[in-house]
Amino acid sequence: MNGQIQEAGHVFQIRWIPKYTFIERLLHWVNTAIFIPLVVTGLVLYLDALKPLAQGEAGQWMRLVHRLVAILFIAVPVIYGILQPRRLWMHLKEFAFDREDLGWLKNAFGYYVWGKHDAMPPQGRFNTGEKINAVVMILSWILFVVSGLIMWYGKGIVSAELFRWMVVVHDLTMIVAVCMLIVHLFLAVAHPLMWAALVSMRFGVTSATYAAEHHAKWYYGPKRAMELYEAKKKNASHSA
Amino acid sequence: MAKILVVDDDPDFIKISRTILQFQNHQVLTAANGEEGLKVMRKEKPDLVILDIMMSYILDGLDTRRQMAADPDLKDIPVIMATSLTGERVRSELPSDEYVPASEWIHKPIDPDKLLEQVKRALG
Repeated sequence: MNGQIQEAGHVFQIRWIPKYTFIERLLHWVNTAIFIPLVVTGLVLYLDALKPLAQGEAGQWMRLVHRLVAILFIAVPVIYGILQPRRLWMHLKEFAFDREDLGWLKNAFGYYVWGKHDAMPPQGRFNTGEKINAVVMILSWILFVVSGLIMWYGKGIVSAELFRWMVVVHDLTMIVAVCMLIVHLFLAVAHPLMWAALVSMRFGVTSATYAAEHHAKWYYGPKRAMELYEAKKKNASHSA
Repeated sequence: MAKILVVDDDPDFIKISRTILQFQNHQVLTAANGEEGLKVMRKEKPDLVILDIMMSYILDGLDTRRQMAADPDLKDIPVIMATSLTGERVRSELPSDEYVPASEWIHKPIDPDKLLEQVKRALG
Protein backbone atom coordinates (compact mmCIF):
# COMPACT_ATOMS: atom_id res chain seq x y z
CA MET A 1 0.00 0.00 0.00
CA ASN A 2 1.37 3.41 -0.80
CA GLY A 3 0.30 6.94 -0.16
CA GLN A 4 -1.89 7.95 -3.03
CA ILE A 5 -4.90 10.18 -2.92
CA GLN A 6 -7.38 11.19 -5.57
CA GLU A 7 -8.83 14.66 -5.74
CA ALA A 8 -11.35 15.76 -8.32
CA GLY A 9 -10.05 13.31 -10.91
CA HIS A 10 -6.39 13.87 -10.08
CA VAL A 11 -4.17 11.32 -8.46
CA PHE A 12 -1.63 12.38 -5.89
CA GLN A 13 1.36 10.42 -4.84
CA ILE A 14 3.67 11.23 -2.00
CA ARG A 15 7.10 11.34 -3.58
CA TRP A 16 9.13 13.57 -1.31
CA ILE A 17 8.69 13.64 2.42
CA PRO A 18 9.90 16.54 4.55
CA LYS A 19 12.53 15.21 6.95
CA TYR A 20 14.37 18.26 8.28
CA THR A 21 13.20 21.85 8.66
CA PHE A 22 15.21 24.74 7.25
CA ILE A 23 16.38 25.69 10.75
CA GLU A 24 17.53 22.12 11.46
CA ARG A 25 19.55 21.99 8.24
CA LEU A 26 21.01 25.43 8.79
CA LEU A 27 22.11 24.57 12.30
CA HIS A 28 23.53 21.20 11.15
CA TRP A 29 25.75 22.93 8.57
CA VAL A 30 26.67 25.76 10.94
CA ASN A 31 27.61 23.13 13.51
CA THR A 32 29.74 21.34 10.90
CA ALA A 33 31.46 24.61 9.98
CA ILE A 34 32.12 25.24 13.68
CA PHE A 35 33.31 21.74 14.52
CA ILE A 36 36.06 21.63 11.89
CA PRO A 37 38.06 24.65 13.18
CA LEU A 38 37.50 23.37 16.71
CA VAL A 39 39.04 20.02 15.77
CA VAL A 40 41.95 21.63 13.87
CA THR A 41 42.86 24.06 16.64
CA GLY A 42 42.20 21.37 19.26
CA LEU A 43 44.55 18.92 17.53
CA VAL A 44 47.26 21.58 17.34
CA LEU A 45 46.97 22.08 21.09
CA TYR A 46 46.71 18.34 21.78
CA LEU A 47 49.21 16.56 19.52
CA ASP A 48 52.89 16.62 20.40
CA ALA A 49 53.80 16.51 16.72
CA LEU A 50 52.03 19.85 16.22
CA LYS A 51 53.41 21.46 19.38
CA PRO A 52 55.53 24.04 17.47
CA LEU A 53 52.28 25.53 16.16
CA ALA A 54 50.92 25.81 19.69
CA GLN A 55 53.79 27.96 20.97
CA GLY A 56 54.43 31.69 20.93
CA GLU A 57 52.11 34.05 19.10
CA ALA A 58 50.71 31.28 16.90
CA GLY A 59 49.77 29.34 20.02
CA GLN A 60 47.98 32.39 21.41
CA TRP A 61 46.00 32.66 18.18
CA MET A 62 45.15 28.95 18.26
CA ARG A 63 43.79 29.28 21.80
CA LEU A 64 41.84 32.43 20.92
CA VAL A 65 40.26 30.87 17.81
CA HIS A 66 39.48 27.66 19.72
CA ARG A 67 37.72 29.60 22.48
CA LEU A 68 35.84 31.96 20.16
CA VAL A 69 34.56 29.08 18.04
CA ALA A 70 33.75 27.15 21.24
CA ILE A 71 31.29 29.93 22.17
CA LEU A 72 29.45 29.30 18.90
CA PHE A 73 29.64 25.53 19.52
CA ILE A 74 27.91 26.05 22.88
CA ALA A 75 25.39 28.49 21.43
CA VAL A 76 24.09 26.50 18.42
CA PRO A 77 22.10 23.78 20.29
CA VAL A 78 20.87 26.40 22.77
CA ILE A 79 19.62 28.60 19.90
CA TYR A 80 17.91 25.56 18.37
CA GLY A 81 16.24 24.78 21.69
CA ILE A 82 14.96 28.36 21.88
CA LEU A 83 13.78 28.53 18.26
CA GLN A 84 12.24 25.05 17.99
CA PRO A 85 11.75 23.58 21.47
CA ARG A 86 9.07 21.16 20.30
CA ARG A 87 11.26 19.78 17.50
CA LEU A 88 14.19 19.43 19.90
CA TRP A 89 12.06 17.46 22.35
CA MET A 90 10.71 15.34 19.49
CA HIS A 91 14.28 14.51 18.38
CA LEU A 92 15.33 13.56 21.90
CA LYS A 93 12.41 11.16 22.10
CA GLU A 94 13.24 9.75 18.65
CA PHE A 95 16.81 8.98 19.75
CA ALA A 96 15.54 6.49 22.39
CA PHE A 97 16.65 2.93 21.65
CA ASP A 98 14.24 0.00 21.28
CA ARG A 99 14.27 -3.75 20.56
CA GLU A 100 14.72 -3.32 16.80
CA ASP A 101 18.00 -1.50 17.42
CA LEU A 102 19.56 -4.74 18.67
CA GLY A 103 18.52 -6.53 15.48
CA TRP A 104 19.87 -3.63 13.46
CA LEU A 105 23.24 -3.83 15.24
CA LYS A 106 23.44 -7.59 14.69
CA ASN A 107 22.91 -7.14 10.95
CA ALA A 108 24.76 -3.84 10.50
CA PHE A 109 27.96 -5.37 9.14
CA GLY A 110 26.18 -7.19 6.28
CA TYR A 111 24.13 -4.08 5.60
CA TYR A 112 27.00 -1.62 5.31
CA VAL A 113 29.57 -3.94 3.74
CA TRP A 114 27.50 -6.23 1.49
CA GLY A 115 24.37 -4.12 1.11
CA LYS A 116 22.16 -6.84 2.64
CA HIS A 117 19.15 -4.76 3.46
CA ASP A 118 16.42 -7.36 3.87
CA ALA A 119 17.58 -8.60 7.26
CA MET A 120 17.47 -5.14 8.80
CA PRO A 121 14.54 -4.64 11.22
CA PRO A 122 12.30 -1.67 10.39
CA GLN A 123 13.60 1.70 11.55
CA GLY A 124 12.01 4.99 12.55
CA ARG A 125 12.91 8.41 11.15
CA PHE A 126 16.44 7.81 12.44
CA ASN A 127 18.07 4.41 12.11
CA THR A 128 20.15 2.87 14.90
CA GLY A 129 23.40 4.20 13.46
CA GLU A 130 21.98 7.72 13.27
CA LYS A 131 20.71 7.40 16.84
CA ILE A 132 24.13 6.28 18.08
CA ASN A 133 25.74 9.22 16.25
CA ALA A 134 23.21 11.62 17.80
CA VAL A 135 23.61 10.25 21.33
CA VAL A 136 27.43 10.34 21.08
CA MET A 137 27.28 13.91 19.77
CA ILE A 138 24.90 15.05 22.52
CA LEU A 139 27.05 13.47 25.24
CA SER A 140 30.19 14.90 23.61
CA TRP A 141 28.63 18.35 23.58
CA ILE A 142 27.85 18.12 27.31
CA LEU A 143 31.35 16.83 28.16
CA PHE A 144 33.07 19.39 25.90
CA VAL A 145 31.10 22.27 27.40
CA VAL A 146 31.54 21.24 31.05
CA SER A 147 35.24 20.32 30.77
CA GLY A 148 35.99 23.23 28.43
CA LEU A 149 34.38 25.86 30.67
CA ILE A 150 36.20 24.49 33.74
CA MET A 151 39.50 24.54 31.81
CA TRP A 152 38.78 28.09 30.61
CA TYR A 153 37.49 29.69 33.79
CA GLY A 154 38.28 27.21 36.55
CA LYS A 155 42.02 27.66 36.97
CA GLY A 156 42.61 28.68 40.59
CA ILE A 157 38.95 28.14 41.40
CA VAL A 158 38.64 24.34 41.12
CA SER A 159 41.17 21.92 42.61
CA ALA A 160 44.24 21.01 40.56
CA GLU A 161 43.11 17.40 40.48
CA LEU A 162 39.68 18.27 39.08
CA PHE A 163 41.34 20.56 36.55
CA ARG A 164 43.63 17.71 35.39
CA TRP A 165 40.63 15.39 35.10
CA MET A 166 38.82 17.94 32.95
CA VAL A 167 41.79 18.04 30.57
CA VAL A 168 41.66 14.24 30.27
CA VAL A 169 37.87 14.29 29.75
CA HIS A 170 38.21 17.01 27.09
CA ASP A 171 40.92 15.05 25.24
CA LEU A 172 39.10 11.70 25.38
CA THR A 173 35.85 13.31 24.24
CA MET A 174 37.72 14.86 21.33
CA ILE A 175 39.06 11.44 20.27
CA VAL A 176 35.59 9.86 20.39
CA ALA A 177 33.91 12.81 18.61
CA VAL A 178 36.51 12.92 15.84
CA CYS A 179 36.19 9.15 15.26
CA MET A 180 32.42 9.56 15.05
CA LEU A 181 32.80 12.52 12.69
CA ILE A 182 35.00 10.43 10.35
CA VAL A 183 32.43 7.59 10.28
CA HIS A 184 29.59 10.10 9.81
CA LEU A 185 31.42 11.82 6.97
CA PHE A 186 32.25 8.54 5.23
CA LEU A 187 28.65 7.29 5.42
CA ALA A 188 27.16 10.60 4.32
CA VAL A 189 29.53 11.29 1.43
CA ALA A 190 30.96 7.99 0.24
CA HIS A 191 28.71 5.07 1.18
CA PRO A 192 26.46 4.03 -1.75
CA LEU A 193 23.48 3.07 0.47
CA MET A 194 23.42 6.33 2.35
CA TRP A 195 22.95 8.80 -0.51
CA ALA A 196 19.51 9.83 0.75
CA ALA A 197 20.89 11.04 4.08
CA LEU A 198 22.96 13.71 2.36
CA VAL A 199 20.06 14.65 0.08
CA SER A 200 17.75 15.12 3.05
CA MET A 201 20.32 17.20 4.92
CA ARG A 202 20.83 19.38 1.82
CA PHE A 203 17.25 19.77 0.64
CA GLY A 204 15.19 18.81 3.69
CA VAL A 205 13.31 15.97 1.99
CA THR A 206 13.70 12.26 1.44
CA SER A 207 12.04 10.14 -1.23
CA ALA A 208 8.97 8.13 -0.26
CA THR A 209 10.54 4.99 -1.76
CA TYR A 210 13.69 5.39 0.34
CA ALA A 211 11.67 6.15 3.47
CA ALA A 212 9.49 3.05 2.92
CA GLU A 213 12.57 0.83 2.49
CA HIS A 214 14.98 2.25 5.05
CA HIS A 215 12.70 3.91 7.60
CA ALA A 216 9.65 1.64 7.45
CA LYS A 217 8.46 2.38 10.99
CA TRP A 218 8.40 6.09 10.19
CA TYR A 219 6.67 5.50 6.85
CA TYR A 220 4.16 2.72 7.56
CA GLY A 221 3.87 3.05 11.33
CA PRO A 222 5.33 0.51 13.79
CA LYS A 223 2.55 -2.10 13.49
CA ARG A 224 2.44 -2.43 9.70
CA ALA A 225 6.21 -2.08 9.39
CA MET A 226 6.67 -5.10 11.66
CA GLU A 227 4.03 -7.07 9.73
CA LEU A 228 5.83 -6.35 6.47
CA TYR A 229 9.18 -7.25 8.02
CA GLU A 230 7.90 -10.55 9.40
CA ALA A 231 6.31 -11.39 6.03
CA LYS A 232 9.60 -10.60 4.27
CA LYS A 233 11.53 -12.81 6.70
CA LYS A 234 9.03 -15.63 6.19
CA ASN A 235 9.34 -15.37 2.40
CA ALA A 236 13.11 -15.36 2.63
CA SER A 237 13.17 -18.51 4.80
CA HIS A 238 10.73 -20.25 2.41
CA SER A 239 12.80 -19.44 -0.66
CA ALA A 240 16.01 -20.51 1.16
CA MET B 1 -23.09 25.07 13.46
CA ALA B 2 -21.38 21.70 13.08
CA LYS B 3 -19.24 19.40 15.18
CA ILE B 4 -15.82 19.28 13.50
CA LEU B 5 -12.90 17.06 14.46
CA VAL B 6 -9.41 18.31 13.59
CA VAL B 7 -6.80 15.52 13.61
CA ASP B 8 -3.25 16.83 13.43
CA ASP B 9 -0.04 16.39 15.41
CA ASP B 10 0.91 20.04 14.90
CA PRO B 11 -0.47 22.08 17.85
CA ASP B 12 -0.12 25.29 15.82
CA PHE B 13 -2.37 23.94 13.06
CA ILE B 14 -4.90 22.79 15.67
CA LYS B 15 -4.85 26.22 17.33
CA ILE B 16 -5.24 28.14 14.06
CA SER B 17 -7.97 25.92 12.62
CA ARG B 18 -9.85 25.96 15.97
CA THR B 19 -9.81 29.78 15.97
CA ILE B 20 -11.02 29.93 12.36
CA LEU B 21 -13.77 27.34 12.84
CA GLN B 22 -14.99 28.76 16.15
CA PHE B 23 -15.32 32.12 14.42
CA GLN B 24 -18.25 30.55 12.58
CA ASN B 25 -19.57 28.97 15.79
CA HIS B 26 -18.53 25.41 14.91
CA GLN B 27 -17.84 23.05 17.79
CA VAL B 28 -14.22 21.91 17.46
CA LEU B 29 -12.86 18.60 18.73
CA THR B 30 -9.20 17.72 18.38
CA ALA B 31 -6.91 14.67 18.24
CA ALA B 32 -3.14 14.42 17.80
CA ASN B 33 -2.93 11.26 15.66
CA GLY B 34 -5.00 8.79 13.69
CA GLU B 35 -5.58 6.32 16.50
CA GLU B 36 -6.78 9.04 18.87
CA GLY B 37 -8.85 10.54 16.04
CA LEU B 38 -10.69 7.26 15.42
CA LYS B 39 -11.51 6.97 19.13
CA VAL B 40 -12.96 10.50 19.17
CA MET B 41 -14.90 9.80 15.96
CA ARG B 42 -16.48 6.65 17.42
CA LYS B 43 -17.43 8.45 20.61
CA GLU B 44 -18.47 11.87 19.32
CA LYS B 45 -19.69 11.15 15.75
CA PRO B 46 -18.47 14.47 14.26
CA ASP B 47 -20.17 16.03 11.22
CA LEU B 48 -16.82 16.59 9.53
CA VAL B 49 -13.20 15.52 9.97
CA ILE B 50 -10.18 17.60 8.97
CA LEU B 51 -7.40 15.05 8.73
CA ASP B 52 -3.67 15.60 8.37
CA ILE B 53 -1.68 12.98 6.45
CA MET B 54 1.70 12.86 8.11
CA MET B 55 1.33 12.52 11.86
CA SER B 56 2.91 9.92 14.14
CA TYR B 57 4.10 8.24 10.95
CA ILE B 58 4.00 9.22 7.28
CA LEU B 59 0.87 7.34 6.24
CA ASP B 60 -1.04 7.83 9.51
CA GLY B 61 -3.71 10.07 7.95
CA LEU B 62 -4.19 7.80 4.93
CA ASP B 63 -4.51 4.70 7.12
CA THR B 64 -7.02 6.56 9.29
CA ARG B 65 -9.07 7.48 6.23
CA ARG B 66 -8.98 3.86 5.07
CA GLN B 67 -10.12 2.64 8.49
CA MET B 68 -12.94 5.18 8.42
CA ALA B 69 -14.01 3.89 5.01
CA ALA B 70 -14.09 0.32 6.36
CA ASP B 71 -16.18 1.25 9.40
CA PRO B 72 -19.95 1.47 8.66
CA ASP B 73 -20.37 4.06 11.43
CA LEU B 74 -17.68 6.36 10.08
CA LYS B 75 -17.61 5.83 6.35
CA ASP B 76 -20.12 8.58 5.54
CA ILE B 77 -18.41 11.32 7.55
CA PRO B 78 -17.01 13.86 5.08
CA VAL B 79 -13.25 14.33 5.28
CA ILE B 80 -11.02 17.24 4.37
CA MET B 81 -7.47 15.98 3.91
CA ALA B 82 -4.91 18.55 5.02
CA THR B 83 -1.25 18.37 4.09
CA SER B 84 1.86 20.21 3.14
CA LEU B 85 3.20 17.10 1.38
CA THR B 86 1.89 17.63 -2.11
CA GLY B 87 1.68 20.79 -4.14
CA GLU B 88 0.18 21.90 -7.41
CA ARG B 89 3.29 20.91 -9.32
CA VAL B 90 2.93 17.19 -8.64
CA ARG B 91 -0.71 17.01 -9.65
CA SER B 92 -1.62 14.26 -12.10
CA GLU B 93 2.02 13.36 -12.61
CA LEU B 94 1.58 9.79 -11.56
CA PRO B 95 -1.23 7.43 -12.43
CA SER B 96 -2.50 5.09 -9.78
CA ASP B 97 -5.08 2.37 -9.27
CA GLU B 98 -5.32 3.02 -5.58
CA TYR B 99 -6.60 6.10 -3.82
CA VAL B 100 -8.17 7.36 -0.66
CA PRO B 101 -11.46 9.20 -1.04
CA ALA B 102 -11.57 12.74 0.33
CA SER B 103 -14.38 15.29 0.14
CA GLU B 104 -11.96 18.20 -0.03
CA TRP B 105 -8.26 18.93 0.03
CA ILE B 106 -6.49 21.71 1.79
CA HIS B 107 -2.83 22.61 1.51
CA LYS B 108 -0.88 24.01 4.41
CA PRO B 109 -0.37 26.76 5.37
CA ILE B 110 -4.11 27.27 5.35
CA ASP B 111 -6.01 30.27 4.07
CA PRO B 112 -8.85 30.98 6.59
CA ASP B 113 -11.39 31.97 3.92
CA LYS B 114 -10.58 28.91 1.84
CA LEU B 115 -10.88 26.61 4.85
CA LEU B 116 -14.31 28.02 5.77
CA GLU B 117 -15.45 27.73 2.17
CA GLN B 118 -14.26 24.11 1.98
CA VAL B 119 -15.88 23.26 5.32
CA LYS B 120 -19.16 24.71 4.06
CA ARG B 121 -18.90 22.70 0.86
CA ALA B 122 -17.96 19.47 2.61
CA LEU B 123 -20.85 19.82 5.06
CA GLY B 124 -23.12 20.19 2.04
